Amino acid sequence: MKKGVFDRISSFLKGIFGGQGKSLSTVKRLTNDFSAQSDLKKRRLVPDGGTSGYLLIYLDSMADGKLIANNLVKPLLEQTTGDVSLDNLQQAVSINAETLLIEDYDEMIKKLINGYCLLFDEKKDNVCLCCDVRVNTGRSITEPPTGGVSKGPREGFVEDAKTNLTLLKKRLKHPSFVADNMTVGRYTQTSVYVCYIGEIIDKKTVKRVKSILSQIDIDGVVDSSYLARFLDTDKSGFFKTVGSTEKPDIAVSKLLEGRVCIIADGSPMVLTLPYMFLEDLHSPEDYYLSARTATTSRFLRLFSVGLAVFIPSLYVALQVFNYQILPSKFLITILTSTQAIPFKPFEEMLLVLVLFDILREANFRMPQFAGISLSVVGAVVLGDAAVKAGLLGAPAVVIGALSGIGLYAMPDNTLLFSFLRLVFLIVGSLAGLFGLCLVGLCVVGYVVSLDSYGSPYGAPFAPDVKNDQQDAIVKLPLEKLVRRPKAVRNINEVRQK
Amino acid sequence: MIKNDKIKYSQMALLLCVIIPAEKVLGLPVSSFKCGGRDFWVALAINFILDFVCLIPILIGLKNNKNNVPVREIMNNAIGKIPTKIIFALLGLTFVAKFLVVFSDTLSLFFNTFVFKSNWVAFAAVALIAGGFLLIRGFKTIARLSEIYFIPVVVCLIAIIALSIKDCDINNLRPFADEGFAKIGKTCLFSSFYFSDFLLIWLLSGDITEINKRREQIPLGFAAGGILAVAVSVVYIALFGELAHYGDVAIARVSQFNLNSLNVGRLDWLLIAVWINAIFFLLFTYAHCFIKCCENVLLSDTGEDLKNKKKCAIASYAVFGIAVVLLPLFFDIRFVISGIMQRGWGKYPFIAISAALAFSFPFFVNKVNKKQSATTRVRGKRVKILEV
Repeated sequence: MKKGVFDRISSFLKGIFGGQGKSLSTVKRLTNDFSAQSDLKKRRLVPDGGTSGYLLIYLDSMADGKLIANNLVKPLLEQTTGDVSLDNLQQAVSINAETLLIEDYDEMIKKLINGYCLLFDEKKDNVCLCCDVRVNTGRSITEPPTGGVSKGPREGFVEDAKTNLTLLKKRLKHPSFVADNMTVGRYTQTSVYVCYIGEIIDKKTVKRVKSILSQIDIDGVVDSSYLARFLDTDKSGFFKTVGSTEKPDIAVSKLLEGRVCIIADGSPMVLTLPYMFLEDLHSPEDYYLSARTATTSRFLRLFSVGLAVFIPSLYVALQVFNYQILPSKFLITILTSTQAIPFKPFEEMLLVLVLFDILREANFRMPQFAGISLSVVGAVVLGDAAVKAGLLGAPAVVIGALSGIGLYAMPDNTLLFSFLRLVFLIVGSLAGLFGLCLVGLCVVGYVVSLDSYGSPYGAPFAPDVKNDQQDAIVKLPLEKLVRRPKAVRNINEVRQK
Repeated sequence: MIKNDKIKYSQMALLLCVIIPAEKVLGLPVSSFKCGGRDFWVALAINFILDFVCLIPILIGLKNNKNNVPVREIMNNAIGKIPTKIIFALLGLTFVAKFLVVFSDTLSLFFNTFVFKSNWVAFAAVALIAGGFLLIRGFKTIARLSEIYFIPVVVCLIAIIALSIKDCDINNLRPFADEGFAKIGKTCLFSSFYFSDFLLIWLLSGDITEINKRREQIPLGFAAGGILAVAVSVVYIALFGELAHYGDVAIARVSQFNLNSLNVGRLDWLLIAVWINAIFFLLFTYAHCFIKCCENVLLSDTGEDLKNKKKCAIASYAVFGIAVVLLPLFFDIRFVISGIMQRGWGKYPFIAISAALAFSFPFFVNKVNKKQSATTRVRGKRVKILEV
């Protein structure tokens, strides 16, 4: 016989009859690979009457010691006697724990990193019993800081993807609700769930989303917003074409319209797509209050945002170019209050807007204990001292404040509108109404030309989609919303009969 | 620019309703009054009716053009390639001329009404940059914008008219036709260059989709636009009477009567500021039509690839922009164009060619349809139809 063949036979026989060498070699490999991990724990367990033991390996920071003791160690030592194979041991281990027999080394590493424990039989080959003993840490389910409502559910998503999936499955008890799992991020190995309702959604959308996610080659995904950057169809980055929500009820309603939800482990923000511009106008409360109230609120929000974006630029444009438009009493008031101001209208308004933006940014970052005092300082400095000192005019401060508050009527696009109002301010100060008209046309034109996964971004008004207009700005009562939105591709139009 | 040029039938209807009055309520009423006197509005109404008559065969052709064959192919089949190119070249020049006339009137609106003084280059360059930005996104963007702006623009125009009606004096419209219908006819010819809006539908016929749904939309949009334009002219003459020829931009003069008290400021300018978007739609539509004409002249085959089409579109727009910005610096272009197309000989071939294109369109479409169905049966056997 040739030496090569003899070696192969020898390996085969060793594989059958085992020996400490093969199992230990897998354990040795694991030990070497995790040598830098100080929390890697190894325990040798030998049941009564047994001739060989079992090696238990786990990461102390990820595995729950109590679960290990109750689900694995106790059954192993108390219920088994003698040598027991891993297959039989699987039966003996607590049925509350998820157990798997794994042969693939990469799969072993993946499970170990994710908090599973691995039990090796010293005699056997590269097979281990993998048991779910993951420690359950994380925030409890509370009302999210965004999307607060006076009526309606108050649960919010948390950082744990499994919990978030549970929150969705609690509300969508139908077998066609699918959650496809993917892993993204070379180092973070973030678990991502692509959720959709198979009976409703257009499968092309799902395919496209999964294709994009599978092509992401990044070192880590810390938050779902990382995924949103890759999923965004507007590469300029100004207008987001991927929505997000922290509320399970909103996510479920989006799923029922034929959208995809993406849950990323470690992030309480669940992505929804396709996303259209007017969705930000909608509040969760709109669906829990009467249709009339919802319609009024939506008009108010739209008016607030329009005012917030245009009023600073109009104020400057009219002062600089077209003061004849202003009623005489209003004109006299403005002239009186701005008489001693050392700045030109554009500079004055720019200063007010920048100061408000600084206040807003500082408010997000300042410690809570300093929040109240600094807010008072900001209000006093801007609202009173600056006007009394003659640095800023009262009308400009009022308009700046109105504009700053009005932006939050559509909270997901606050930064976008803040940027747009600066652009309009510059254009208004340079070109007056002519410039405002043209730039307004360009901005609206850009919005209506965008597309989010086959759904026109400006729908249901551009293009005109009559069916969807019954829940755009004007909201019809629930019993009249018979069909799903046509702007979102779906295969099942009928919502209620 | 190319991929997104398809627009829906309903979008075309809304666009027409927005842009048809835009051109005709600026300088046209004043110049028409100088030509035809107080009955000039009758001439405008007659021109609209004639336009509507020319629209009907185009809509018939549109309905029969089930395969959305581009108008160039229809014309190539009917009259040959060289005459087709000549027609499109002339049309392209017409759209440049129309753009210059409308833009010149828009500048008058800003200079005299909003008291906003600047120079032609600054205005034109800014407008062209904005137009280029929107047209790069595709003509579909303009069509979608018309869906959003339709209500505010039309409401503002109706408000401008309605708020001035209280000061109208019907006696300024009487006596009717006291100088004879010949003068009205002369005014019809004089103002004809501002009409023939059906040419837009003719030129874009291959890009209009979803025609079978509610076919009355385009005629309704056309009629509504015409009625609004005539209404502004009627109100203008009813307000000013014989003083009408001292005006410059009719819509601005009409809106002066919107508010009784000067203490409330010129709030009517806000209505005009919203309505003025209609003019920008019109200007960008003319630019798009010019690009289409250039494509039809310069590109040799319908099956040309997207890259060549894009290059042609960009080059055409660049040439268009340069012409629009530079020509008025050297000539009083408004005077030159009105000299040829209104007072001079240019109006006759313009009217003749426009009408000929409109009335021949359904026949040419039928000819193309017959040719296509003929190729399906060669010696009694079905053959593969080549993409036209």
